[in-house]
Amino acid sequence: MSASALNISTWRIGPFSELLPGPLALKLDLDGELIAGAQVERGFLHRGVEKSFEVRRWGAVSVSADRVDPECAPSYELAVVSAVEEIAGVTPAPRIEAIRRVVCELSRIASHLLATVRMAQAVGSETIPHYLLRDRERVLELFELLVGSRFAFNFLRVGGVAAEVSDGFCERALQVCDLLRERLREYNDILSFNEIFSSRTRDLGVLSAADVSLLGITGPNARAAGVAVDARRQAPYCGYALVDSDMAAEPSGEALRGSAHDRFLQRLREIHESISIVRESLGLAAEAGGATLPPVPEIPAGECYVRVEGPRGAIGCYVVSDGGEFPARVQFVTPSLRALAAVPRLLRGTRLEDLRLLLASLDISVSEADR
Amino acid sequence: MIWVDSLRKMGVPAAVGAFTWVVFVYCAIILPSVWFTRFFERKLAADFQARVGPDHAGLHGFLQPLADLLKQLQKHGHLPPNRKENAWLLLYSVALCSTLAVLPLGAGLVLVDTPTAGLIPFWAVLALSLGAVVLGTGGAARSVPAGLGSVRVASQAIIAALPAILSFMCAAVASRGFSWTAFVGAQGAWPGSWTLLAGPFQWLAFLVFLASGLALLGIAPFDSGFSSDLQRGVESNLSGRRLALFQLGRFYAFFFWSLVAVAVFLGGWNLPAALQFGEWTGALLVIIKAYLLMIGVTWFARANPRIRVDQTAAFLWKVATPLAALALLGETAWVYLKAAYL
Repeated sequence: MSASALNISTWRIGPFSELLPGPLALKLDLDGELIAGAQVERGFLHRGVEKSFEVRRWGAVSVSADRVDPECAPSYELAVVSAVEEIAGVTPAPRIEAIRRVVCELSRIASHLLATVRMAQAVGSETIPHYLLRDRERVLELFELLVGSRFAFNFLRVGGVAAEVSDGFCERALQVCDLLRERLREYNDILSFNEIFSSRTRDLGVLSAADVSLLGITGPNARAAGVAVDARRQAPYCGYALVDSDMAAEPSGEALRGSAHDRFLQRLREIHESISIVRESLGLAAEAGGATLPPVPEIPAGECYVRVEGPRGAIGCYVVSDGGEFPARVQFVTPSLRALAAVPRLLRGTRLEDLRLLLASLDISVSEADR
Repeated sequence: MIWVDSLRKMGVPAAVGAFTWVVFVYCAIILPSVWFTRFFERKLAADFQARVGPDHAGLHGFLQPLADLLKQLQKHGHLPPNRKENAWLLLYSVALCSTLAVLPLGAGLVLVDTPTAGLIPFWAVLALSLGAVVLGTGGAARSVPAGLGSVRVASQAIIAALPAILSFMCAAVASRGFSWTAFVGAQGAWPGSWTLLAGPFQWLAFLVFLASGLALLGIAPFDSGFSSDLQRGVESNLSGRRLALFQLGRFYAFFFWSLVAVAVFLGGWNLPAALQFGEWTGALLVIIKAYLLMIGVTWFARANPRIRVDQTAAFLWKVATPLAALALLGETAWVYLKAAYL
């Protein structure tokens, strides 16, 4: 065996590998099983989504917004739609806002469940992901009932939503909320209190509050490090000011260290909060009338920057209008890109076996980072 | 050895008789065992995981393992054939299958039952870890995952060998010998008379023996050498027939280790007097016990996340080895004191 034939000191993974959250390339310097250094190469999933806004009319912004990150499509739709509404000077009715909140929070639940599935898969668990996916399926079925599709929503419109709430949606949403409340307890039993799981995650990938501020990380990754940033609370939009759930409030008791386990627990807590928000907003959403497909308003020249809280963190959306039929420019700030910046420093000193777990715990969506 | 003896009466030389026995055991016991355990394990796993599991091939998917094998046999390797790799794979399989000679199926169904026959299983383990290392690094030498996987297998095997041997010796203290007949002869048909419960320390030895054996062989839940974080590790270079052969070898090692654990700790082929209908009923009992043990282990592995290879090593060094040493010392003292004062 020659040294060049089996060069264990460097390993290039990707762009397509089951270890990675999506098409990325990692160049690892290995010291035995330890990762001594890591470089991230990205851009493999760049599709020019932001440019694609410029060839679709104002009425169709949601179609492009869905493509930024299919896992949290409603948040992107909300971001771009709110920005356009701001430019057009349109204020949606409270009921419309409630429907939007329900959809966004449900998608947050689905996204957090999927992130937990990825973590469970990364620790080599075969059974737990099935339980989580089964419950995520209930949420996706709700979307199917409401929108007709499970991923590419195309539901939010400038000034409203595409269709009236389907019959039975609110009742079923409440049932799903009750089910998930129960299941959260079950996830705690099978993951949080599992010694194998916690021994693998509790000291892994500790993202300090200083790193969070330095890299501009937001969302559950930041909140798990004790940095209570949440656009829903700090700069309420879409009627979140009316909701009295304690979004992003620091949990009492143990201090947050920003480890993979903290991030996992943070996501479970956020699922719990989202359930409360959904339940609260459903009452308003269940009322009759008002949610018909609105006409596309006249969009004057102008620009607007809007920040909404997506499942992975703060989504910034900058929309420029030149008064024409098409958007002049649409740009996004995506939370996954920031989280990706933390990967090299977190990987240093980590064991190779924890690579997948660490990446899963950051819940990076390559789709939204590369867009 | 009833098989060889009866063939000898028909004029067949003993060597040929022994050879036919090995072939018979492989075809009539090992291969069907793969089939049954794979099927039941997959159906059970499907039940745990709230899904249906295989249900297309045959009744309730019973033919699925066969379908899987046939599919694998048809597959073309994804890497060009490598003579070294083939040679090592062959050597590895032959070494592993040579332990068929000491498969503890019954008093008259063990080909080799010398006073040290019980130590031969460790040969299987050696073959597996050596074969894995060679397949991962020497024979293939084509990828980082395979190389790292084989290093994990080897390091785990080296560490696990000590607690495995210690706990094995602990059982040997109770049965006063290393031959299969000694191990099984010291036990009775009912659990109360098994070595597992023979002294205050044997259950500890059994647990260590089982865990360290799984770590030695790289079987789930200690399968980090083959884990998905290394793209299946050692197996990542193999595909098609080679992969089928290698996985068969791994399965056989698991089955063999379970059989040994059953023979040494769980009563072996001892049946109550009313149920003794010859050697084969005993063999059936051993095999069924081994299946149950395998399913139990797989159950645990399926329900829990995996621990890291360094955590496995820490567990084996810091927990399993001291416990095995404690069990050995305690058992020795217990046997001595019992003989002296009771």
